[in-house]
Amino acid sequence: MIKTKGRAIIGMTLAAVLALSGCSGTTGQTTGGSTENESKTQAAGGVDVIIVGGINDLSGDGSVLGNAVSNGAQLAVDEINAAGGILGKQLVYKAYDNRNDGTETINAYNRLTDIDKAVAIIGPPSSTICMSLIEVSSERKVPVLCLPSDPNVTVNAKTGEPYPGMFLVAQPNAIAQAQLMSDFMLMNKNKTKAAIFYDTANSYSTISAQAFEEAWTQIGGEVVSVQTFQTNDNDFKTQLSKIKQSDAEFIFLPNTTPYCVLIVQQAAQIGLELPYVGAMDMANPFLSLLDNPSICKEAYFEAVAWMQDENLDHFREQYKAKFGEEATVKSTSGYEQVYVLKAAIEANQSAEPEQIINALENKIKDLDLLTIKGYTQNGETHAPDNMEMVICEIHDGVLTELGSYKPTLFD
Amino acid sequence: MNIIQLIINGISLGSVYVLISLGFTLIFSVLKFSNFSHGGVMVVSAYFGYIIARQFGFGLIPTLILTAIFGGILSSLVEVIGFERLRRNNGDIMLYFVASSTLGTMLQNIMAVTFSSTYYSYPTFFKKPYFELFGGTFTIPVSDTIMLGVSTTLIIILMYIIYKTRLGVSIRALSMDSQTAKLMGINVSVVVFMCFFISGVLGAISGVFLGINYVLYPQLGQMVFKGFTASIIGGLGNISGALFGGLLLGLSEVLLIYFVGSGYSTAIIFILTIVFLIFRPQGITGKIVSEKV
Repeated sequence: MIKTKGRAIIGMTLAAVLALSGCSGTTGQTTGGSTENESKTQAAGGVDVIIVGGINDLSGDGSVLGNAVSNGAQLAVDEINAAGGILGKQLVYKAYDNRNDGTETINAYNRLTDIDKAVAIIGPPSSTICMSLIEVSSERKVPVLCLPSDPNVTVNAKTGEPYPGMFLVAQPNAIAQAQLMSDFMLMNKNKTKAAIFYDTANSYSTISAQAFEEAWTQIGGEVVSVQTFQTNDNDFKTQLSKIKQSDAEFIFLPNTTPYCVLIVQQAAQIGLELPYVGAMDMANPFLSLLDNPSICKEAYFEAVAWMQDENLDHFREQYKAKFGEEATVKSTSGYEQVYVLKAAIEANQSAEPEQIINALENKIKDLDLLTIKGYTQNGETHAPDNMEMVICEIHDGVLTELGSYKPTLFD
Repeated sequence: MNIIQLIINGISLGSVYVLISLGFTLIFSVLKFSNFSHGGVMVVSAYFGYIIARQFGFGLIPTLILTAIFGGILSSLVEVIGFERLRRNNGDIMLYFVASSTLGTMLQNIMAVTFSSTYYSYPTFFKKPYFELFGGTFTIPVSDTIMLGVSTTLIIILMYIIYKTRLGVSIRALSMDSQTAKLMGINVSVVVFMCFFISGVLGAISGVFLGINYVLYPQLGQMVFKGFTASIIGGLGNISGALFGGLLLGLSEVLLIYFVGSGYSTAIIFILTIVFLIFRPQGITGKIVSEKV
């Protein structure tokens, strides 16, 4: 009996270990590309490299975006290395999977700074996850170049001072995004009544909803219905039915791509046919995740890039050849972040983390990137200054571009 | 909003929970433990259904039938690998719980590693996703209607098997006392195997409907906790309890979301579950039976 129990316990433990090993680890995990780069550097006998860290969700709920950012960064690193590197040194990109978890994110940051000696981190696209890095990056002063829409990630709301290590790079924050979309819907689509449906457990979603409500009412629009859900909820038909019964003329959906897909599908199931207005997460792969894209009859959202632009042809080809999948807007974001980092290192001729922070605050001005011309990083907000966005339209499941847009009703 | 529309929405949501809790309840009634590997079987079956529907273009009925068979076989394999030895050696109930949780997590993670966490959408099986009654006053999703119909049919079939067949007599005998059932000549291994097969069939069908109603991702198996909650409310180990518990849970969630908001509804449901466990642990339809020596 004891032997059998012992075997059972060993068997269970083995099964548990197998289960856990099926998850992506946060320690010692590098992308295939970075392992290749490391090998090349070692093979060349070079030990003088610049380590660029990456912390993204590579296997969790946000892996669609996380992988895109990380792959874009890897592509940029490979390009820079092929062109001779930075300051005569090759870059090594070390990516860790945070599985969309704050604790894993901090662990990855600590490992990258303590053991891997990364000079900067290409950080997660999730505002909630970025918040977990505020304290540790302020202490260790290794900058995180990330994509949080929540302005509270880069600036202390109480003091108004920027957090030393946090930088929003290559994307405007939620307030700028909300102003742009509310301006567009009022001025170009003549809508006056909005419904908002957002995730109360997601920082990006919450801050975007608040920013939109403020911006919309500021310019004379009316919010007739506000509905909420929580991360991990699956059924939204009750909330959507309430929106259907309101006077709303469109629904603002500041939610991550998977939830946009769920909401649009369930809205179709109950016969709700209002236009959708998204922030940036209705860009691809949103349409490809819908089985029948034509259920999305009318939608508008903003993007930092129009992926069909011929200037991106080479980027898309390289990305597809390397990763076997189509590049998305978030891929360009990861790519641009590395080039902004390159500019910061070259500006101060130093790859020391504190020098990089100094350069990001003071020396990134009128930089021409692949998708953004005249890019400027604001030293006081640690966010881009006056970034133009592209407005995209989905009509009966077909995606088109409406051109660059800047709001006119806001200062 | 019209209260009748809310009730329709609640019953639709509840029918999902009924399907999940049925498979869960069946195993509890026989082996007296909460089989959380049911979630893993659900999600693996859902992926299987997705693959065959996409690759071969099968319609809803063939997808359901093939996936149900797959789910039954998978669940039986889970029984053989995870529980048979424990059962033969009269393993402690805690070991069953550990084994089921581990197997459930392992199956979900295998799906995450194989398919990544990208969301997949099931093919559209219905030409029109909803139909309207009374000139559009009520809107009823087609998938929910079919799911309710399938749930009801499966419950009837399951009740028939339990109460009108030799297998059902064996299952009921086993649920009362496995030792005595063995002594009376019932092949316990075969009966348990069949229970897991049936549970797997139910899990597979619920997995396909979850994939149709929502989207397909590895963590979809965590919906098994909704089935667990429905089972507690209805009565653990009680088939009719699974029906009432699932529908009541669905209705409660919809009404709470409508009147209180989604943020509080989860907390209130959790509190209600605790209240049931404290004041009526046998659930709505269960009975507390004193065992006589």
